[in-house]
Amino acid sequence: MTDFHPTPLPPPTPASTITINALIYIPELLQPIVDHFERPDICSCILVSRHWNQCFTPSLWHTVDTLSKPWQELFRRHDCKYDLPRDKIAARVRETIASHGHHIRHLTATWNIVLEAVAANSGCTNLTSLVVGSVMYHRKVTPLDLKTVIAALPHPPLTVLYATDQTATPLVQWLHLPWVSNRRIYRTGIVNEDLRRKITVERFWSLVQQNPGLVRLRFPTLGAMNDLSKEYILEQLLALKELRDLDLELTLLDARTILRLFPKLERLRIYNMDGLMVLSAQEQYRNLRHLGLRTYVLFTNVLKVLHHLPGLEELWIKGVAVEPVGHLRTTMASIPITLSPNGPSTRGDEVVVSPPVIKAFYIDETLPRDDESIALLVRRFPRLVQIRAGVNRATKKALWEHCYYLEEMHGVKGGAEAWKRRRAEDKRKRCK
Amino acid sequence: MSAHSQILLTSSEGTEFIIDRDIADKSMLLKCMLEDIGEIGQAVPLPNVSGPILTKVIEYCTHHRDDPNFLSANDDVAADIDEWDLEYCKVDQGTLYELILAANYLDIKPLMDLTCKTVANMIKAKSPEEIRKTFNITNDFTPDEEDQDWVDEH
Repeated sequence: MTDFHPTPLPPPTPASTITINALIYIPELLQPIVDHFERPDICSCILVSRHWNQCFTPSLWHTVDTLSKPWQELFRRHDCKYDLPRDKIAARVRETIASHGHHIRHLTATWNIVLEAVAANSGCTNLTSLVVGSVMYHRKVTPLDLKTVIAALPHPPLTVLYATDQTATPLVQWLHLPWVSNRRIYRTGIVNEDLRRKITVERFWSLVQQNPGLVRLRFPTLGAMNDLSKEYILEQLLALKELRDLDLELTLLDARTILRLFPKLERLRIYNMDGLMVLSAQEQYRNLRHLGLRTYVLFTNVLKVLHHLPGLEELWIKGVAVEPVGHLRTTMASIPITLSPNGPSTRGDEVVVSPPVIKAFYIDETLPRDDESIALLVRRFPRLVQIRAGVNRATKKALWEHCYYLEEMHGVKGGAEAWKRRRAEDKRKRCK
Repeated sequence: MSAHSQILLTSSEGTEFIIDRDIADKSMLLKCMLEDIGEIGQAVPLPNVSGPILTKVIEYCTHHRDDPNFLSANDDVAADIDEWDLEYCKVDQGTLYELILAANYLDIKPLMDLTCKTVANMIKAKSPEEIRKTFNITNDFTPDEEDQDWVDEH
C-alpha cells in the first residue's frame, strides 16, 4: 500500500555537464533561441569560437536577401564594364550558393546569376519562399525564365513573388514593378513622353490581367493612372480575388469604396481618407492591419476613423495637420492611453477601442504647428517608431520619456544607433 | 475537496514526486501518455530529468496551473516576461540549460519559450568578446582566421 505523503527534496546532484556549447549543438534546441535574434546577433555568434561558428552559420543562411548592401556592392562591381574580375565574382557567387544553398529558406534574388546558381544547384532543398526581382530589367539583362528556376528546385517553393513579362504563372502572388515607375521617363528632351507613359500603364494592366492570383499589388508612381476611369480600375482590381495588400500610390481612389470592395484587405496604402469620414457607426473593417495615408490629414479626423478599424495595428501618416490643443484634447480624451493587447475592451457598457500601434508619422513643417499638441500626440502613442518633425525641447523630452521604440527621428545625429546609445547611457546615469 | 487524481513521477535518481493530474497535463508528453494508458498506480519514470530540475518544472507548472493563456502561447516577441517568470529564471546557467532540455523532453511549450528567451537575452546585443565572457568560452580562432570576412554575407 502506498502512502501519499509528499517526499522530502533529494540531496543536490553533482554539477551538471550541460554547457552552452552542448546546447547549441542540438538544432532543435538552437532554433527557438535563434528565433529571437536579429541578423547582427547571429553575426556576433559566428565570431565567438569555431564551435559556435559551425552551429550558427546555418541560421545566417536561412534568409538571403540580395537586395541588401553587400550583395548590391557585389552586383555593382560585376555590372561595371571596366571591372576585370567579372567572371570571378560570378564564380564566387555560384560557389557560395553551392556550399550554403541547403540552409537557405527565404531567398530574394534580383540577379540572374543568383537564380542560375540556385537552379543549377540541386542542394537548395529547404527553399520555402522565393522573391524574384526584375530590378535590373531595364538594363537589358536577359530576363530569366522563372519557370526554369522553379522546375529545377526539388519542390516548388511555397511562395513565389514578383513578375516580368515572360513569367505570368499562377504562382505569381505579388506584383511590384519598380521599373514601371522609372523616373527616366520624365527626363526632358525625351520625344513622345506621353506614348512612353501610355505604354507603361498598358503594360502594368496587362500584367495584372495575366495574374489573377495576386495577393499584393503596388501601383506604379504615375499620375497618368488617374487618366483612366475609376470604373475601369475598380473592374480590373475586382478580378483579383485574393488581394490582401494594396498600395495605390498616387491613384485617387476613394478609401471607402476600396474597403467595401475588398473586405479581406489587410494592408492598404491610399492617398487620402476620402469617404472614411462618412462611414456609419456599424461599419467596421476588422481585417485591416496596416493603413497608410499618403497625404496630409487632420489628426482628429484620423482618430475618429480609428473606431471603424478595430484590428488596426499600424498607422502611417504622411503628414499631420495639428489643430489647436483644445480641440485635440477633446478627441484624444476618448482614446485610452494604455495599449491593451487583447483588442477592444469594455468599460461598463462602453466599448473602448485601443489605439493602434502608430509607427510613423510626419508632421508638415509649413503648417502652423502647436508644439504642445504634438507632445500630447506623442504621449498617446508610445509605440512610435519613426517621427519626422522639427520638434522643440518639450516634445523631444516627451519622445525621450515615452517612445522607447523610436528608431528614427529627425534631427538626432547618428540616427537610430546614437539614439539607443544615448538612451542606454541615460538609463545608467539615472540608476546610479 | 477537489477530485483531482494524482500522478506519481520518478526522476532519474529514483526520487518520487506526487503531483495533481491537472498540473501533469501541462506537459504534452505526460498528458498523452496518461490518456493512452489511463490511471495506473505505478510511477511514470522520467529517466532524463533529475530531481532538482523536476522540482523546478513542477514549480512552474503549479504556478501557471490556472493560467488560461497557458496553451495558446503568446508568440509576440515584444511581449515582456512577467515578474514571477523573471524571478524563476534567475538560476545558474547549468540549471537553465537543464530546464530547456527538460521542457523539450516533457513538451511544455511555454516553459521552453521562456527559457529559450532568457538564453537569447543573454546573447543578444553583445559583441563576440562579451559573449565569450558571459559563457566563459575560449576563442579558438587563429588571428588571421578572425580577420577573414566570415560575415561577408552580412
